Amino acid sequence: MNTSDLHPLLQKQLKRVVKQSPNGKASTAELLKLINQRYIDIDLAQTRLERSITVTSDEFGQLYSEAKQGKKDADDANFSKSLFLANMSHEIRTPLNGVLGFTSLLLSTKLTEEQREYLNIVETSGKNLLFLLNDILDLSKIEAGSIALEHISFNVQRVVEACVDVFRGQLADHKVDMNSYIDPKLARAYMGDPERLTQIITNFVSNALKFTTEGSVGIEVLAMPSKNSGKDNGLQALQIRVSDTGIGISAEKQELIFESFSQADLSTTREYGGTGLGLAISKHLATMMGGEISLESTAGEGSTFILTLELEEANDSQGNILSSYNTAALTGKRAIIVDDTAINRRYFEAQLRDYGMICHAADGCDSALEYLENNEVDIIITDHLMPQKDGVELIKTIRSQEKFIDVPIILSSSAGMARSQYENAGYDALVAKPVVQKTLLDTLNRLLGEQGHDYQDDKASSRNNVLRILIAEDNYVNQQLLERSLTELGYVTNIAADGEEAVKAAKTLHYDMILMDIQMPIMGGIEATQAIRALDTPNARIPIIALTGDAKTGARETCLAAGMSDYMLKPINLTILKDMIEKWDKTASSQESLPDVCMSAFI
Amino acid sequence: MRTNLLRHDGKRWKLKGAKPSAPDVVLAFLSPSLPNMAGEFDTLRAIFPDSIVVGCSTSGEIYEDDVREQTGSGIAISFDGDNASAKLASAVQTNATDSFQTGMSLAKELKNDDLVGIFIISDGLKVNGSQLILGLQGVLGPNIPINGGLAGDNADFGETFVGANNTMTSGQVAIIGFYGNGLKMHSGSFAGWNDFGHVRTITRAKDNVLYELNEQPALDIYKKYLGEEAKDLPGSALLYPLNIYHPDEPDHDLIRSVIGVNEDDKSLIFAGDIPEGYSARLMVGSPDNLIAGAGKAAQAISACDPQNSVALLVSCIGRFLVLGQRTYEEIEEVSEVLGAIPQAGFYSYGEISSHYKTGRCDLHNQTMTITILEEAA
Repeated sequence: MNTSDLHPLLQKQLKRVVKQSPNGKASTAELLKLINQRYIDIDLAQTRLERSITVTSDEFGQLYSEAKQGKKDADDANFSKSLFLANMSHEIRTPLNGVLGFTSLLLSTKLTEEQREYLNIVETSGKNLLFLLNDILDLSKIEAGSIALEHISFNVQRVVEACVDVFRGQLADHKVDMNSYIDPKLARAYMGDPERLTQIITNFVSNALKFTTEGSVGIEVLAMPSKNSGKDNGLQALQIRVSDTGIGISAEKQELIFESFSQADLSTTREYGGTGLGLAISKHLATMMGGEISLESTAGEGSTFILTLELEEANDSQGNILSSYNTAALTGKRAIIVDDTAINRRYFEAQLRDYGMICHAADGCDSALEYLENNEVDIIITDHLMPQKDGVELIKTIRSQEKFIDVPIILSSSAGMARSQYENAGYDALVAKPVVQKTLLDTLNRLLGEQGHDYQDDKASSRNNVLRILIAEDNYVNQQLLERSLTELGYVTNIAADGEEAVKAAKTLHYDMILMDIQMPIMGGIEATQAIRALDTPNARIPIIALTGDAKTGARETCLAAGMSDYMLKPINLTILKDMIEKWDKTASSQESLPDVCMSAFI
Repeated sequence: MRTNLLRHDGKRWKLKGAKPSAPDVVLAFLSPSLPNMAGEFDTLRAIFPDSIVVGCSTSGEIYEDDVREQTGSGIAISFDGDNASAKLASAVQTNATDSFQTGMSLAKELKNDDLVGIFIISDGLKVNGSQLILGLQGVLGPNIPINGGLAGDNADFGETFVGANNTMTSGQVAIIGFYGNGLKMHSGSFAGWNDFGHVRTITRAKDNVLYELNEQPALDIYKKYLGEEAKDLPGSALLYPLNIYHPDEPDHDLIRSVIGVNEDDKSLIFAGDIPEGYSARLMVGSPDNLIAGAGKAAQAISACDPQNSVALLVSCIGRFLVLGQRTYEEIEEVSEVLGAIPQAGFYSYGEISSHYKTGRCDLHNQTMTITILEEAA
């Protein structure tokens, strides 16, 4: 081997050995010394390397476990805080509901103008505080993992219509149109949590309205192809899209807005109000439902919030609405829609097409008149407020033409419009915006020849006898609130302060329904229900509705298993309570029997 | 430029080549193990009474391409042209906290429009090198090259000595200013150590004493890394220097050697300032990497005329301890790159040079630092 083939460092070492050697040659001993030194160096380097790796990996291990523990501690602390917050907001809501309930009762008494004004402010402030608390409570419950979703049969259209109704009053003060469209494929009943779904949509809509000063807000529910397309697994994918023509959200802010406590901009909170928690809550709820929320938005042009989820089809024919609609009279009829808002036109068109109608949409009076000159129609639906020429003027123009004298015209107008003002305007029907499907269908049927199908009587039971309700509730404020509210609604009530009193009352007096608090001294609601169900009187079979502050998983099942008919979360919302009473009154009077779940308690 | 290498073999000085009449500058690097170190320095002063004679105690002497112990090495530099000159400024300080002031006042003495660069030979234990440099830069500005090194005393860290046309004294700072457009000063500095372990933050430190890294006692962390070698503290800590840098300027990383430990407060004493808030990472060296590193220091220097240049090498005691018998290899590595340029120097307690990445002058540890003075032919 040539010296030049050796490692450069070794070459140098050899050169030095030779240089220092007296005879100019490297001795074996010197060479061995070189090799030995090399081994020593390698050993040392190896030892240090191994130790540095050991120490480093130990340190990283330690850092990792510290970080893990730190995260756990933080999560635990956060969880406790959420729990505390949930309890706290609940505690605050109870007296606040007392305040609100009695304010509402007080408002129905004789008051001076000044007193009424002050009380209205009390009510508005109280409600705002309640909204805030509800948001915080919801979020903290979600974070504490103590929210349980319902899994009951419901109809998507009812949910959407309920959402629209919530905002009907608010829209009267807005220069904003609202419209909704539900894919007819979704007319059947599905399983899910209608209340939470309503909450998400309501959040979307209130958000949309908050940031839209003029234009429109639309709710669109579309059937989507299922993820497992082709397989009939009883799941239906759908999208609920809430679009607005508001200020929109820039791309960089879009990521932020679903986070808790971070509205896109702090100035947003100041300018538009709100906790900014609504979307965070909605996102959590959507995730719990197995769905997701997305956002399409361009700053300055508007936003679309989209909830995508899959719902299980319910084995329940009751929830199926459209199948009971009678659209026979509408098939093949020709309609023209006149509306300056593209979303509105789209929704109207889609709905009419679902009914089998042939539809033309015009974006204003001029284009409508132009179309009408050359085309025959069976019905005209026009918006009221439009730029340039409004709907009332359009109707006048149309009516002035011979061939249109008998064509039915529907004027769709915002809720705030005084009906009497335009009575002679020449229309045949007025539908209030936002237009719900049932109203539109009924109106079309009426005008085009047939009666609309009465798919459900919205009014309270028409039974002549007054409903007798037993209130089992230990909290004085709640007792008073329930008693006065129910009396106000025309029901007769008795109060039992605990479960034992409730059972006693049920033994001796006749009731049509019992509202049963769950947590009461002496005897709780569960025990009392079981005792009442075991009685040998007709009261054993009346609806018993649980009132509970416990939204935990299984609470509902526990109530139902004990023989209760339904379940309501406290604090009591009077509208929901009213609906609940009416629902069970109807069920009891129509079926004259308890639902299966209640029957099971007798076995 | 004419240069004469000087060598003391333990008995007497030997001069390579014909004796110059009055060289401009004579530099001498003397082992504290010489029986009469200060006397040998005085001898040189007697031989060259009209020259600037500056010397220091060392931790190893560099002579040509080799390293020696218990000897003396040196070089006499004589400028040929009129456009080259040198001036000495020196001060003795008793308190390390005066270093910034010392730097300022010496710089004032030396400052001139035609100042090309300065070469420092300073006490290695009683002078805070970082502060000295800051003081110098305060007067001279950032563009004048500042090079040199801190005296050593084998690896004892007891007392170091510097002579500057006077008897070798502890606590002395000697600075030679080089002037004239006939002169150029080049420098290169490189370490070749490897970082290991994770980056920590210096959470408690004062001057050159490090108390805590990431709020943990610094000595505890060192002991963990040293393993069995911890029993040889503080000497063994020299094998594990610390790489430090301002978190906003990771490029200007500086190596700091441990020169002492304090078991009482679990602190480490370094051969340079340890600023609080800096990031820090331990380093470990292998002979091969250090040798290659020395080569890189030399490669950083642009080509010079070997007939009219002199190379002053300042390497670190920490490298000497790692390289052991192979120390000469790093000198050879430099020689190979520099070729025929005469070279002398010493192993020190701190090297002063521009930074290999940022170019800013600073105090380094654990580097091979090369300063080349070149006179236009």
